[in-house]
Amino acid sequence: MKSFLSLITLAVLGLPASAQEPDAKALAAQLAGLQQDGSSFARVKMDGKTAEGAKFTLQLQIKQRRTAKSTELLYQVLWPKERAGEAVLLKQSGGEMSGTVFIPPDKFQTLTAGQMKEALFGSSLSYADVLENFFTWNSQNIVGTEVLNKVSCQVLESRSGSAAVRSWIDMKRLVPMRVEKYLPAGTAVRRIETRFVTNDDTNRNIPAKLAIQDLQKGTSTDLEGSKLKHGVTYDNRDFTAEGLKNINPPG
Amino acid sequence: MTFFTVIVRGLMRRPVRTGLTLVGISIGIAAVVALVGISRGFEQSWSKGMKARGTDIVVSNMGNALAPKPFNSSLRDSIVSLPKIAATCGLFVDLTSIESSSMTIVSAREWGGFAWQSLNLVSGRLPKDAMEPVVVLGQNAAEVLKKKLGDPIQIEAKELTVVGIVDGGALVENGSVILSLPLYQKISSNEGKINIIDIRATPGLNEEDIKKLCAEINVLIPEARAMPAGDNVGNSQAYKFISAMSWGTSLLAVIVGVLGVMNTMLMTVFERKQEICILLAIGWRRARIIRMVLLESALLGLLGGIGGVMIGSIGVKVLERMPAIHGLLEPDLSPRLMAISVAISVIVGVISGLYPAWRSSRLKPSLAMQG
Repeated sequence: MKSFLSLITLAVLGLPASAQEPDAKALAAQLAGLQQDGSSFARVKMDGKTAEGAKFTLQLQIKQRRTAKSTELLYQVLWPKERAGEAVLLKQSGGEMSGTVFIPPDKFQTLTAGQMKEALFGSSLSYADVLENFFTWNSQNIVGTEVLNKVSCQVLESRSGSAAVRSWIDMKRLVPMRVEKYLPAGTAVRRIETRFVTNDDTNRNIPAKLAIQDLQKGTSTDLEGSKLKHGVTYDNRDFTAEGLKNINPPG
Repeated sequence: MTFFTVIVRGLMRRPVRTGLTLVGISIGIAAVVALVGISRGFEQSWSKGMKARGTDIVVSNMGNALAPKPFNSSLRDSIVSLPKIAATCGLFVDLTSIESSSMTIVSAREWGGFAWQSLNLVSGRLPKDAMEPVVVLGQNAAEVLKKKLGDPIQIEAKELTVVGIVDGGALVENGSVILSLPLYQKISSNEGKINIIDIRATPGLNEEDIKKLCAEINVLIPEARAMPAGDNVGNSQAYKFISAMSWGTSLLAVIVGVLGVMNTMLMTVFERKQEICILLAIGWRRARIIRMVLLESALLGLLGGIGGVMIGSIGVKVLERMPAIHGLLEPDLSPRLMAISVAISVIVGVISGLYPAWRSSRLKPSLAMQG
């Protein structure tokens, strides 16, 4: 009788555990799909602190087209006045990243592959950080669970070659609550924490406040989203050198 | 010695324990006052804003967001023809980050619409025409954004000039950046879109008539929802969520208070077993013993409630003055909320005392002999 009860107990405890075991690849695919959400427009406030302790604030607008095949991002500075019009166009297609920086009135600079690791508008984020979708990488594994700020998260590890990224995923809302990027040696180089989650215009949970730390340079940046509009219409020219100069929001 | 003296002496027997219990209840009640006061204040300030604009009905699609979803401005034309409608005014109200400040209300109003009439100029002037690249700021908005007349202010990618500071008669109005609708539609690439229609009904309509009118409008425009002014925010998902969170957190705090008082009263009953038995032996009825314990716990609740209201009110006042939220809060610290909070505290006290009172009533007078 005792062994029968033990068997039942094991079955009861064991079955749901295996049923709830998240499939890392399916989870990553789901998260990748959420990022590849077509054409959208966002407004973001960026508060940064340099390694020297100097503070800066930028108002940015982001025009983006994200699909499974390609990503096109246009970051434009709206404020302060002295930096208004500065823009960065980033593209990724077939694993290749490219970028162009525009400084008004007419200075264009093409970013080399090596420059993709440089800071976006002096923040703790690199150009590559905002462009790459590590949830599409081949190697995806659940490496543990952890409670972050009272939110139970699955830790998803994404690997591509020597690059590794860990994401703490709130499974209820499907939102990464923390992302850490590592050097090949295993040292954490960047940490992105979600401070506030809200619903977007499609009723999806999205991070609305992010705190980013460059753990090597000792800089920090806070991003606060104030608007996100999906289903906007862009012209192909919006994502060209010509589009870099157009700071009008999409209709 | 009066009955009341016995009750007070019971509580004063262990002043530290009684004091700590009072602190526990006070914190719980302070949470009720602060959280519920803030969420109700939020709703009321919107309601006041609507009234200040002379609005009887608001047509919007609040959904889950704090700012309503945009819809075609032509919808307004289908409402205008309805009887019992005196005037309509299209608006585009947005919550957005301006320059270095966080979320600010941008209220773009139909040029010439009645929503402009309620603005009292404190200084400067109103825009001269619909496309003049200028804004007026509510008093609080001017303070939060650190702007004065003639200062530039950037909204989206467009730099505008502050030409007036206004008193809109309500916190929401005074916390807004106000500009003409066509100008904002152009700046934000929302040509032909609005997200709110303010409606003035013909004078003399009662609450029931207003509700009937809302129902008629809802049939005409299923894309949005017409509600009596003030009700629209209260019915939004976002507000309901905030309100539920406030009450939920308060409830938890109150449950902690219940357990604290119950623990204190149980300890009191156990420690005073002999005294209670003697009281029974000298002729006190069991009902009187129950009443004594319940009154002790109710007194704890009353004092804790008063303390909680004071702590909560002070806490909210301190919050109001914090730079990050200065000008954004108009908590409802009405006597009604305070009375409700104290009443909750007294009820909590009585409920907490029920079990200890029942335990004390079951004591036998003969136990007094056992020492």
